[in-house]
Amino acid sequence: MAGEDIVILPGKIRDRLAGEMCDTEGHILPPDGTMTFISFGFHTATILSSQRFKAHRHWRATSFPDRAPVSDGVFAAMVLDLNAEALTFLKIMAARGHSLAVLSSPPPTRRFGLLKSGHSEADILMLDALVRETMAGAISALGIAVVAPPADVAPDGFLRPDLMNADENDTHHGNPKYGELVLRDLAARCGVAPS
Amino acid sequence: MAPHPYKGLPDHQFWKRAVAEVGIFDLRELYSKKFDILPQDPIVTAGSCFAQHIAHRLQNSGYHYLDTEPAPPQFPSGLLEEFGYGLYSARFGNVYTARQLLQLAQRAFGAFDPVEHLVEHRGRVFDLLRPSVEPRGFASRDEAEAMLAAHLGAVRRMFEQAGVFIFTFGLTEAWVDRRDGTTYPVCPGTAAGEFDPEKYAFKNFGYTEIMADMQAVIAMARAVNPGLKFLLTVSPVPLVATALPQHVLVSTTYSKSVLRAVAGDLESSDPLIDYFPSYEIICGIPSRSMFYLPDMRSVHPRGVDVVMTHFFDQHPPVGTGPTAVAKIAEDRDPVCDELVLEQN
Repeated sequence: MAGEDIVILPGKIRDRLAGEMCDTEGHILPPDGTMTFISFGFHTATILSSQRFKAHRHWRATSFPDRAPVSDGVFAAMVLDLNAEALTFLKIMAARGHSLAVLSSPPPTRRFGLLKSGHSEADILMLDALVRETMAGAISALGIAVVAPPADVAPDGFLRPDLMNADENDTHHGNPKYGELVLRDLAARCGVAPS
Repeated sequence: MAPHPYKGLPDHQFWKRAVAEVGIFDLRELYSKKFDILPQDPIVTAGSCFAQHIAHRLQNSGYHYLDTEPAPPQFPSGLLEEFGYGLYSARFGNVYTARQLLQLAQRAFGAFDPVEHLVEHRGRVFDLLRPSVEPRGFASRDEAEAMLAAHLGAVRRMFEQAGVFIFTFGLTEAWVDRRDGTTYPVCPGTAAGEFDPEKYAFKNFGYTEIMADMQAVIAMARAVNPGLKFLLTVSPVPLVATALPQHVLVSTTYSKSVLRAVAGDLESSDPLIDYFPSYEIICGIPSRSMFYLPDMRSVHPRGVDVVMTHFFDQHPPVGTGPTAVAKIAEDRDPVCDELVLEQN
C-alpha cells in the first residue's frame, strides 16, 4: 500500500496540481509534511441521483413511499461503494505518509435538483446527514481528519442563500464568502490568526 | 397365466441395470417431470441452504426467476449475500422447517404475529426469524419493523405472483418459542440474542406435523394463487449439530427420512406437486459421497452440476448465453445460518 504509486491522469487537474501535489506527469510527490486539504465524497445530490436509488429509498425517507426501503446498513454500504475509489485514494495517500484532511462539502442547497424531482426538504437533510456520517466514519477510520462545514452557514439545514454561488445553475458550490468562512474556521481550529 | 408384475418393466426400475451397471454420471430417467415449467412461469425458491444452489442456477438459466425483494441496482455484488439479497425470492434467509415456512406465509397474510422475534443485543436490534439479512443488526426497533413490513409485503407478492414454488426441505429439528410456537431458523443465542430456557424449547417435528404444515402452506398459497405448482426437494446437506442426545448421523438420517417421506407423499397426492430427487443424486449410493467436500456437509459444485443436469434434462434451459449447468465457476458456498452452531 505504502509503495503504491498514484498518478493523476486528467490533464486539467494534473496541470493545476503540478509542482504542489504531483510532478508534471501526474505522479504524486512524496510527503513533505505539508497538510493537504481535499474535498470529495460528501456530495449527497450525486449519491441520491444515482441509479441505485431509482427504485429504492432509505427506510426513513417519506418522499417516495412506493419505493422499496433499504436499511441503514444497506444505505451505508451503497454510499461507501459509490465512494470506493475516493476512499482507496485516501487510504493509499495515508499509507504513504501524507498529511491529509478532508473538507466536507457545503451543506445542501435549495437549488438541488432532487427537490424538483420530488424529494422533500426533510428527506434531503436527513439523507445528507446520513451520507456525511457514513463518509466521515470511513475517512476517520483511515486516520484522516474530516472538517465539517462552519457553524451558522446553514441555520435551517440548507446553505444560506448569501453563501451560494452566484450562478443559478450551480446547485451545490459555495461562493467566495463561504470559502472565506471555511478558511477562517480552519485557521481558528489550527490556532492561526486569519490574514 | 399372467406374467408377474416385474416382467417387462423398464430398465430404470431395476437396481442392477439402472444403478449397479452404470455410473453416477450415467443415471437415466431418474426424474420425469410431472408438469412443464414455461419460460414465462415465475419461479420462486425458499428452503434450506441447498436451495440457494438451485436458485442460483435457475437465475442463470433463462427462466423467469422472481425476486420480489431485490437489491438496489448496482449494489456491490460482494455484499449481496451479506445482506440476504438474491439468495431466495425474498430476503427471508434460510427456511429450514415446514413450520417456519408456514409461519412466514401466515405472517405475510396477517394470520400470525410472533410474540417476540426482534431482540436487542449489544445496542443493536436483531430479527431472530431472519438473522442473516442484516449482519450488524438494525439501529433501532423502528428500523427493524419498517424493514420487516416491506419484507412481508414482498413475501406476499411472492406467493401471489409465483408460477412454480421450489421448496427445499432442510431440517426437522428447530427451536420454538414456548409462548406461541414461533419457530426460529437457528437457536436463539447462537446467531443473535440470548438463549433463555424459559422462553425457548427444542422441537423435533414429526411426519404428521410436517405434512400438516405443508398442506396448510399449500392451501394458503393457493387461496391467493389457485394454480400454483410446487416442486419439492430435500436438502442433502447433513445437520450441523443435533440437539437430541444421540449421534448427529442418526439425527440426520431421521430428519432426512421424514422429510423425504413427506415430500414423496405430497407429490403423489397432487398433480401440481412434483418431487425432484436432488437428495438421491447427492446422498444416494451411486455417488459414494463423492460430491461432498472434506467437511462431508458442503456439496461440491460438480455435485450441483449433476443435480441440475437431471433437472435441465426435463426442464431445458431457455434462451441463449451460458447455461446454468456451465456456471460452475460462479458457484459459491451457500449462506447457512445453521453454521453458527459450530462456533459455539
